Order: sequence, then C-alpha cells, then structure tokens
Amino acid sequence: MRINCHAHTFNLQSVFSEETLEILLHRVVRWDFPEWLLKIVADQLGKLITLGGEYNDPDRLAREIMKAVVASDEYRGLLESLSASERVKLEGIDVDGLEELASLALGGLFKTVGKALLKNDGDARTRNIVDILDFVLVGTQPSVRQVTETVMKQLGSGRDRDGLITLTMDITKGGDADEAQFLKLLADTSQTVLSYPGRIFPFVAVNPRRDRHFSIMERALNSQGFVGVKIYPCLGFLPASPAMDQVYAYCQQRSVPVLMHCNEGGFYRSPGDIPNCNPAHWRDILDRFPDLKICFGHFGGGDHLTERPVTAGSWTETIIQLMREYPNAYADISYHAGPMDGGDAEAHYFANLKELINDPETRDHVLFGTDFFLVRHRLREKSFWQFFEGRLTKAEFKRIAEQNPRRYLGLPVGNKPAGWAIENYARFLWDHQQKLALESPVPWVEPLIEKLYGSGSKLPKPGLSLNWNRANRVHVHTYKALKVQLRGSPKFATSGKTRLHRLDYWNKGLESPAIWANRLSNESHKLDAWFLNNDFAHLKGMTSMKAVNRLRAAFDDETLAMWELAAVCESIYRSTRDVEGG
Amino acid sequence: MKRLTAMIIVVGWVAATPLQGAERQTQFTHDVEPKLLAADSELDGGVKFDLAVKHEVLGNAARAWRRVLKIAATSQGEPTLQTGFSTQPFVIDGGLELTQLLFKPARAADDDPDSDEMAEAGFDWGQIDLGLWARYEKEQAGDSNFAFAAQLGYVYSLKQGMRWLIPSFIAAYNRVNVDRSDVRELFGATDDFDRYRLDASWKIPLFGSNLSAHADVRFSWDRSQPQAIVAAGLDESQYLAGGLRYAFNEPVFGFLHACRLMVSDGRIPPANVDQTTWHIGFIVFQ
Repeated sequence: MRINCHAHTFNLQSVFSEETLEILLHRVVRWDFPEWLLKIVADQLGKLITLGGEYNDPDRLAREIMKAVVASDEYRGLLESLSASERVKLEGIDVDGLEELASLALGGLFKTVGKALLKNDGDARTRNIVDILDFVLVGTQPSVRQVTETVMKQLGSGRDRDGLITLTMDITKGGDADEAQFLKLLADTSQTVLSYPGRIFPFVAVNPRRDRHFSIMERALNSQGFVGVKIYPCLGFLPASPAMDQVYAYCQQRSVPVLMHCNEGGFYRSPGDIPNCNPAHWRDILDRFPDLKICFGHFGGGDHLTERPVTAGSWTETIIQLMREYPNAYADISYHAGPMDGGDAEAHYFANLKELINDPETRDHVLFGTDFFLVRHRLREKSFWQFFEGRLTKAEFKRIAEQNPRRYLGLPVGNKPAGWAIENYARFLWDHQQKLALESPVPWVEPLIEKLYGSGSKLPKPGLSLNWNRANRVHVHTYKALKVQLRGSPKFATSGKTRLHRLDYWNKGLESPAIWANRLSNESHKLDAWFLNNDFAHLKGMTSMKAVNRLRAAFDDETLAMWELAAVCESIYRSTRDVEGG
Repeated sequence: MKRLTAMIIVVGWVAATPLQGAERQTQFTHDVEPKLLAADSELDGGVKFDLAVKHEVLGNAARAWRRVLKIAATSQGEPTLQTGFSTQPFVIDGGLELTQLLFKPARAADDDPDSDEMAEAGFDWGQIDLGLWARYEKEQAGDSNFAFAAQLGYVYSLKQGMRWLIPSFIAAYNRVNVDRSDVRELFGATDDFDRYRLDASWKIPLFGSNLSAHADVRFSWDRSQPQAIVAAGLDESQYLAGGLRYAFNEPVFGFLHACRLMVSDGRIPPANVDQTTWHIGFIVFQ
C-alpha cells in the first residue's frame, strides 16, 4: 500500500475562526498567483475578518470570491481568449444571482468556470485560475467526510489501495477557545477512518496553547483511531518546552510518530513565529528523546532542493544532517511544487532527491506526501502523484511511498509487529465495526485483527459503501422514516437495496390514478416533515415545496432502491447536529 | 359484454421534470407505460400515460398537520391501437387541490438505525385531499363528457396489523354535461345531470413481504336520469378489480422484479359497455 504521508482533510468550516482567517490571509498573500486574483481572495478574507462574529461561513467566502472573479476586468480579459461557444457559456453568469445560488449549484459553477479556463488539465506545470477556485471549492465542502471523499477518489483503488496520513490543525487563541470546534474536527476525522478502514491514518494536532491539549491527544490516540501527532509551532509556540516534552515522552514511549510543519511558508500567527519551525530546535530535543519518530513536513521547503548542492545553511540542510545522525528523523516532500516549474529547478531537485533516496544514511528517512488540499491551489492530488512517479524509478518511489511510510507509521512488516498506535487503530475499527459498512479493510488490517481478537475474527463485509452508511445521518433517517413500511423488519444494513415498490405505500397501477397521486403527495410530505423534525434542515436554496416535488418523483419511481432515495435526500437535507459515537 | 384476455408488459419508465426556472413551486410529472395486449388471438399495442402539472399556491413546512393548496392540471389515459381493448377513459382536468396531512413525525431518540426508541412519538392517520375540478373525459370508442367535480379524497398507506382494512378513497360529486353519446342521444337523454362517484382501493399484505392482494373498486351513480337510461342500466356503473402481486427478493434474470395478475370487471364512465379483462403484468427494469 502506497501512502501519502502529508495531507489534510479538514474543511474550512471545521477550522474557521477569527484566528484562522488572519492566518489564512497571511498564507494567501504569498501564493504565486496573478496579483488581481490574490487581491480578490485577500480582500474577501479581510472583509470576513472585519465582520467579527459572522465569520463562520466559508460558503459565503466562496460565493464572494466567485462574484468578485466574475465581475473583474481580468476575468473578462481571460474570456476574450476563449472560443465563442465557451465564452457564451461563461458570459451569462449573473453576478447578482450568485447570492441566491445553492451551494451545490455554486460548486457546479466553479467547475464550469474552471473547465472552460483550464486548457491543460493534467499538466503540473500550469498554474491557473481554476486551481485557486478549486482550492476554495474543496475547502468549502460541507464536511470533513466530503473533503476526504474528494481526495480518496483520486487515489489508487486496487486491492491494495493507497492510503493517506491526514493531519488535523488546531489554530487557537489559547485556553479553551474554539474547543468544541476542534473536538468536532477530531470526531469528524475519526469517522473517516471507519469509511476507509486501514487507509486513513489521522494525526491529532497538539497545540500547547490549548489548556487540554494533552488529554485531548491521549483520547484521540487511545480511542478515536488517531495514530500520530501533528505540531505546528509557527501557530505560536516553541517546539521545546515542558509541555511539549510531556508530549514527546508520551509519543517516544509508545513509538507514536510526530510530524512537524517545517518550511518558512504555510500558516503562521505572526512573522516572528516562523522560526519556531526551524529544525535546528530539534537537535536538543532528539538528544533527549532519541527514539522519538519525528517527520519534518515539507523537508524544510522544497525550493532548497531545487539548488545543487542543497542551499547551504537552509532548514533542508539541517534536516539532512539530522537524518544522518538520528535514526528516527524523517522528512516528507509535500508541497514541493518548485520543481514543477521545470528547467534547472526540476533537474537539480530530482538529482538531490534521488541522491537522498539512494544514500544508505538517508534513504530510509524520506517520505512521500502531497499536502492535499492545501497544495490544491497549485495542482490536483493525482497530478502530484503522477509528477513524482514519472520522475523516480519504481524502486525509488516504492521506497518513499510504501516502505518508509510503513516503518514511520509502525504498520506490521514481515515479523515486525504493529506499533502501539496501530494496534489501537485496529481496536478502534473492531469496536466500531457496526459503523464500517463501507469499503472492505485493506490487507494489512485483517491479520492484525486476527492477532488481537483470535483466529477467524474478521471485520464485516462492506455494504453499499458510502451510498448506504450508518454513519451518515441522512441515510439513517431515510431508513428510520420508512422502516414502518418495510415488511419483515429488515435491519439497516440489508435494507439499502430494497426497492421502493416493496414498501407498503406502493400501489401504482393497482388503484385509480387520482388516489395514487394523493398517496405520492402523502409520502413526500411525511418524509420531508420527518427530516425537519429530526435535526435536519434544507440545504441552501431548497424549500419544502421543492423538497416535496423532488421526493414525489422519487417515490413514483419503482426502479429506485432505498439507498437511491437516500441519495435524493442528500441533495435536499443537511444535518444540524453531529453523528453520535464519533 | 366483451371478454378480453390482456397481457400487459409494463416497462417502468418514470420521470419527473421540474419546469425550468420554476422548481420552487411548479412540477411537471410524466409516467408512460407501453403495453402489449392479446385477445382472441389478436395482438394489440397500447400505452398508459399519466401527466400532471401542479403549482403550489400556499404551503408550509410544518412538521405536524401540514397543509398545502395547489392549482393542478392532469391528464391520464390508456389508448390502444384497437379501441375495444382500452379499459380506462382519457381524462384531462384542471382545478384546485387542498391537501391536509393527518400526520406528526416521531422524533428519534438516537441515530442508531436499528433502535426503535423514540424521544417523542408521532402519529400517522393518513391524508385528506379536497378538490374542485373541471374535467373532460372521453372513452376511446367515442363517448365524451364535460364535468365539474367536487371531491374528497383520503389516503392511508400503513399496513401493520389490521390496518390494511382502512381503504384509500375518493368520493366525488360531478355535474356532467354530455358532449357526445350515441346511446344517450338514442334515448333522448342529453341534458346535464348529477353523478356521484366513489373510488376506493385496498392493499393486503399476504404471507410476509413478497405477496400482496389488491382491490380497486369504482362506483358511479347518475341521478335524475330518464326511465330509458335507468332501464338500460346506464345510470349506474361499477368497476371491480382484484388481483395479486408478487415481488421477487432478487430480480429474476436480472430484470424481472415483480409480476401481477389482475382481473377487472365492469366499466368506468363514460364507457357504456361492461367488460372483463385479465391483466398479466411483468415489472421489468434493470
């Protein structure tokens, strides 16, 4: 199994706070994009910051960015370069009408604009308006689950499917600020483990500015399926402190991998906090915790590897030194978009990288990572993989995307048993097996389950995958609302494929058409009322009338199964509370 | 009386198309089922259709006791290539429809799908529909009427225990204006008249989840009719249909989901001739 060792699956909603906005703004202004586009994004972020208490609305951010883009002179100029037919499609976008556009429709518009403007979809060298729009689109997905689905769809899907280390973030002012929001992020991320058993490896963010950071970390590692710790010192803390020592001691004792953000970009609280991520701090830490597994995210910055030799005195050079001295020092190549500019940068970068991957002292310490979706404003996840696969040998790519990640994570390899965190991960899957009902586990999981729970112990077979999922409230309540009409009282897991014509209400063609029409109206209104009474709301742009019309068409269709009706319901309703048991 | 044996192959083809730009309140639905009929060694083709445009005038998103007022236009029919095979009139109507749900949703205690525990109980006593309609109805053989109708409808879909006994029905008063009727002209009975109608249906689950019995009855009584009409038995009509439907657990051959056997006897105005029809239906779709 190949593993992307550096990715993010939070949506902006799950980390959005006043603090986040300022930090995001710092990051955006340094993107390598046309000035006018950055100005639009930065202006909208700035406006949201000044709104104070009303900032918690990434959907609004996406809407405002799209409005500003469409209204800009620069966008008009880009349209001129398109063919007449493409131009007609885009010229009709009604700027005022965007306010009323439902989220789903807004997503469609992003895609339309992007498709028309993106000339060379698969080329990692191109940098386009669609990248920045798509970045906002991914970030404004309604849930962590949907961001996760976005990335998982782009990964390899064979028997030994690709995996992902997903890093959470804790951007906090300190104390107990935004704790509920952070706990929700952890719970939502934990749910995604159950969606892709054995493929998603979440790291819990530790920020010592938060009062309860240690107990939250302990809980995540012990009972929520988290397998590592992410730290981000430029959010306002030093990596070496008594509080962090307690974290390192805990992780070292249990071989829990730690990953630290380590380049001079990314998010930071203030420019003065950037040096907190300097890997030089780690010589002292690793002397005191020599068995601590630490990965320096981004390898100190990919640009230092585009010079040959590696930039002297750079963070990257420091990391290479640490790798040679400490057996558990790793670095990942995420967000290394610099070589994609081609020319000498690309040639130097791969000469350096290949040297590191083939040097006996460093070859076991390099990890593959992409920084999804924060790198999305540069290129797609799939393109990132393809770029590196195409320039490394099979053996080299296998080393950084398969062999080294397994060791870093503590996955079982040959006779080497699974690490403590991975065993906890397997226990988490076992304890929540009723909520799996999605993909079948990847091969490494099954032997570990048997080892922990005895020969013959197996996780349940997948059901209808994401289409009929007990972790999805819409699916659960579609079932609950109609359960009374399912004869034989089938359980949730087995009722997803039940066709609607088997429900009690079905009498089409066997009664007067007028009675049947009334019956359809009745079923549609009842289901709409059920959802509204069970902590659901209509999606933006949806009304009860519109919902009932959509449901009526579904109830009239004997070819539909319960899971397909649930999909219709997903296009109508959103949960206003969390799934239990996360 | 004509006796027919009809085999009906139904290809599920259902769609709903919200009118462009007006999904908020207006919906167009269409349902078309092609048919193949056989009788007395003759084969015939036909099509059953059901079209509706409904526009919501007043509505609310209430959770309990929801009420909706709509303007609607609908059309149904079952034309066949040979006129004698059709058992349903062509109908086109338009009017107002007031729907009152007798329903309050329960509130689930948790999100465990296999738990039946409720934090708050609900109830479901069905739904009442009141309608005022202007209608044109035409038998395929030729007779046709204009009618004004006031109707009361009730639907109930739950079947647990003995609840299957509760019928769904429409009771209607029609003021009928005869547009064309050779028979009535023959009897000199072409004045407007009052008609009372009752349509009702039952679905009875049998032996678990696969087999169900169905009954569909439709009566009409025409008042103030000339003696000649009464003597000819044209002042009252009845249509009685009953049958069985079997839904397979897994589709047979990958596409046969259910089959049904129905027999109907009688007529639905404006048809003048009673007939008995056997329907053999195969519900096929991928």
